Amino acid sequence: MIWKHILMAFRQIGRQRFSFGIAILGLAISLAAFGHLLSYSRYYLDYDKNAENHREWYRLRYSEVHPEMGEHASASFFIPPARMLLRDIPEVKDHIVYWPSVIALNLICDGRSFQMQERVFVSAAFPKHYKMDIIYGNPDSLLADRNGILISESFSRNFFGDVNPVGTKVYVGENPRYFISGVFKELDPNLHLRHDHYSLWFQDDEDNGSSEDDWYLRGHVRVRIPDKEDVKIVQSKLNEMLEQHRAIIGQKGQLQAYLDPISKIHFMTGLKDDAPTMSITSVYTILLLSFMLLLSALVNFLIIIGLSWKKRADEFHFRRAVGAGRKELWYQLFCEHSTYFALSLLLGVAIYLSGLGLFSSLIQIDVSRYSLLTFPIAFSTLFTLLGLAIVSGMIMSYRYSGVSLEQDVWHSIHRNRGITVLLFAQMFISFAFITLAISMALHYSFIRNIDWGWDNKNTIQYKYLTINDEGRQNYYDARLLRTRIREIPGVTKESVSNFSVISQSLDDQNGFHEVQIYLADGSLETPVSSYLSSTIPDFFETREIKVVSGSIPEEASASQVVVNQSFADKYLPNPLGSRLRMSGDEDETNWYEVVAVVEDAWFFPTYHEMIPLITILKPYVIKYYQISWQEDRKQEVLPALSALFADAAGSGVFGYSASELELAQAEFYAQDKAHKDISLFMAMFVAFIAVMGIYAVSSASIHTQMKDISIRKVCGAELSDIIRLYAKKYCYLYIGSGLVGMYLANNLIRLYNSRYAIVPAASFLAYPVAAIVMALIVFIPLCLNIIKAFKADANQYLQAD
Amino acid sequence: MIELKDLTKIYRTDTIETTALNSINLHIPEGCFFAIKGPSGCGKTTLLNILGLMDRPSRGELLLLGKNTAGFKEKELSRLRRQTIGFLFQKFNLIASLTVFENVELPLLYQKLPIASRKAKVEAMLGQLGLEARAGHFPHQLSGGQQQRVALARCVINDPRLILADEPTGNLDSGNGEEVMRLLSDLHRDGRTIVMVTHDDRYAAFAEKVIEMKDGGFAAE
Repeated sequence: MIWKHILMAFRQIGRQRFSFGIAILGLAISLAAFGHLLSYSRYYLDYDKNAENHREWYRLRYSEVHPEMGEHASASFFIPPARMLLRDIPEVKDHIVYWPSVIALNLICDGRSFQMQERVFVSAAFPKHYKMDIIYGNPDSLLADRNGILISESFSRNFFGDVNPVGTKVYVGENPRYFISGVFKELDPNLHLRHDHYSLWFQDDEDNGSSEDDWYLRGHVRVRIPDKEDVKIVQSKLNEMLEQHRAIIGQKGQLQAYLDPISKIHFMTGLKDDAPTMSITSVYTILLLSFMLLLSALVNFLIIIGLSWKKRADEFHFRRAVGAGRKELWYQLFCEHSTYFALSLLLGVAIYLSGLGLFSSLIQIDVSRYSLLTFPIAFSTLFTLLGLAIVSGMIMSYRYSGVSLEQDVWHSIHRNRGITVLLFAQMFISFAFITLAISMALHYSFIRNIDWGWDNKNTIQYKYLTINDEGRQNYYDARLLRTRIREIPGVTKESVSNFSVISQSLDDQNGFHEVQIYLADGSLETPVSSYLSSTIPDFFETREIKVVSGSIPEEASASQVVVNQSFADKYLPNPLGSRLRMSGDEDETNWYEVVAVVEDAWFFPTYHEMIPLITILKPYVIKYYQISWQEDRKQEVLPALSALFADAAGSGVFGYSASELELAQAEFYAQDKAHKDISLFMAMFVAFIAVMGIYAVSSASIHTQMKDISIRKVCGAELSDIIRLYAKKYCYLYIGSGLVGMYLANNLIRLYNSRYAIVPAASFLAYPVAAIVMALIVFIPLCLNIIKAFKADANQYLQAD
Repeated sequence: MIELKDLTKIYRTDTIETTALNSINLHIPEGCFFAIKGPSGCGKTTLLNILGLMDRPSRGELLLLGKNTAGFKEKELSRLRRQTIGFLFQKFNLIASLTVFENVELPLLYQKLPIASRKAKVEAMLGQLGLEARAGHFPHQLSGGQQQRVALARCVINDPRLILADEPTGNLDSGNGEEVMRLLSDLHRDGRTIVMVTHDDRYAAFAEKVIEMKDGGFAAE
């Protein structure tokens, strides 16, 4: 019997190809999209979980509490005491240190430049911690020597090809200094400390002669504490250790140590030198949205199946007439429902598997590595979905198996009530989705087109350590380099700074130093917080940063500074001529004078608020070179610049790196772009499902009321009268679902926007735009159906049977 | 009132072409009670639908109140139908989800009359037909005769000059059938033009003029 029912299900699909196509394919595509989004979420939720015994590992960090200025939380910890942990705190069973050096060296290997943007120093246990799979080299002595460099498979292939590079010497300038100690297989992309090369910091038992001066070194420190109960004990001991070394550390405030589980550090916010890789709310928002997408498709699926059964009321009546009981009808309908659902499920899995590559390229993450088979959320969702499908199938089968028994009552009293509820659910999900997607698109457009406040067009930034001094050993003369840059044909302008004009995070490594400032006007007894950096006077004019007040001298003295508008607004109403001093500066007579106020400029993404910034105008060291080229001469200028920097670095020990500004700025918002693209894609899909659902429902509901429409027609009703009549119900649905959907969207938008320091008013345009889009989605299919019904021959519905 | 000139109606499907009306010419003067008889499928109802502007002829002309309706758009047809024509059907065709009052009110609603005026007219009409006590009832709560009286009330509520009745007594017992015919006669006496399709000679006898149709044309007059 069951085969007959399954056969009947396939016959129904054949008879109503369009509506069943929408129902089954819609659910299948939603399932596949849901699977892709789960994999995407898993990528973030599983960050650092591939580390060995990840539940036992904690990141060690400190914060500094000032009585006046509150708590400044850091993501890093002091490197010297990290090595004392195993010795002094028995609860700590293991530790690792990760310290990226800000200084790039001019490394040469096989006669070619061995470019490494930064050296990354780690402790010897690092390969074990990240469960490195070693391709070449002795696994026991990978990081046994401080001159050894452990490199990744891709790094090795790019530089050495397929040759085993272990033992190959790496030169600093002309001196052999390092060697390749091993090659490891590519690490998972969602490992927090992933890099393509590592060097040894110190062996734990090695006497490195670290002195008190080393306490300024801070990096990423992890400790393994197998017993959770010991975490508090370790924290307390660490606090004691910091207190003992307080004088050496040189911090003014109260120091406090924290231990964060490593699977959570990825989402932590509020740390001054670290930004979360991803907002946890964004991950949960994506999970919620993808579940809603699935729910919407399931609702559509149920609506269309329900309507198809409604159209078959006569068939059910005839079946009863020839002896079928309600139980038999229920069984038939449930079998049909299960067949449709199973088809969707199978198709969904097929689409999921075949679409993985496409989705991975869209979001630029290889999601195929994140299997859903071991992901609890995937299982719970699948069971929820199966449960929903089975329960709804049973309920629907029960109700529709009784249609023939109570047909009149069904039509007059319960007319479409269940379907109306489902339609409401689908409309409110669509409202929420579309509003959110439009808001994200508007927000993304805003942050991508923000006025950066400075000229960044056709510009590349080189990071290379130089000084404004001629003939200093190992350093290239900054003035000479600038002259040589300007001589390159096609270069329109160049500027230099000691901060990166494309800083993802506001930290010392990028040249933004957080400092406490005393103001000389006596209005503030306590220091204020600001950022400090340095550049030379012509930077502002070259980069077209407007001077708001005062003037910037061509040749500045070491005591002259420029502040930005935010600093002035926050601390100094009349800044020109004001004097300020750094807190912690031993020489209290060392005062700076403000000579100009410049407009705020974004050298960082809008996750950060605009910072108060003081810029010293006479730096000794120059680290960043910004070079702009003539519109159509990029291909000519970039190789010339590359050759110039290679030549400059060739005579010294320092290396260099370069990045094009517009590309780097786009990289700021790569995640936002992925979110926006995913949301828009899903919103379009939901809108498509909603259009189909509304078309199917309105078509079926109008079909059942053709007689009413015909009667109204003979009573003189015009098309507009009929549209008004039927639009009324949809208007109520539209308004009701709009209110609920937009309320939900509003909460999601607030969550999403919470990671940005600035939110444009334009984002709120999403609400009226979504209302218009939804109006089109709801009323166009409805109107099309009414027009079709109005044009139909009314006579066939009015004549006697 | 009505003039048909060489009027033809052909129904086409992919493979079959059926001529429902074949070059009919007919004049129905104002105030006339006209009955059309004939076997099933002879084209009676098709003719009635064309007279009621619910269908368009394939060929020929229909002049209603001296106006050629051929070039009329759907909106103009609706207006003309609303102002001029009332329909009465065999199966009453009341809207199940509307009360008696609302069913009768329907044509006035589409004439955009103010609510007070609509209420007064409907109440008066229901009173005239002895249905005032049934105003709040739904169609399925009424007998067949009562339903047809409601349908008649709806048919004449907008004071149409032409009433088209398609087997109005077909679903009624003889008592209720007589009653409906009596009401139609009253309407005729008031000066309305009535065109009625019927099988029953007893009811055809109420008409001033009877024509018989056969195979899409008139058999006898």
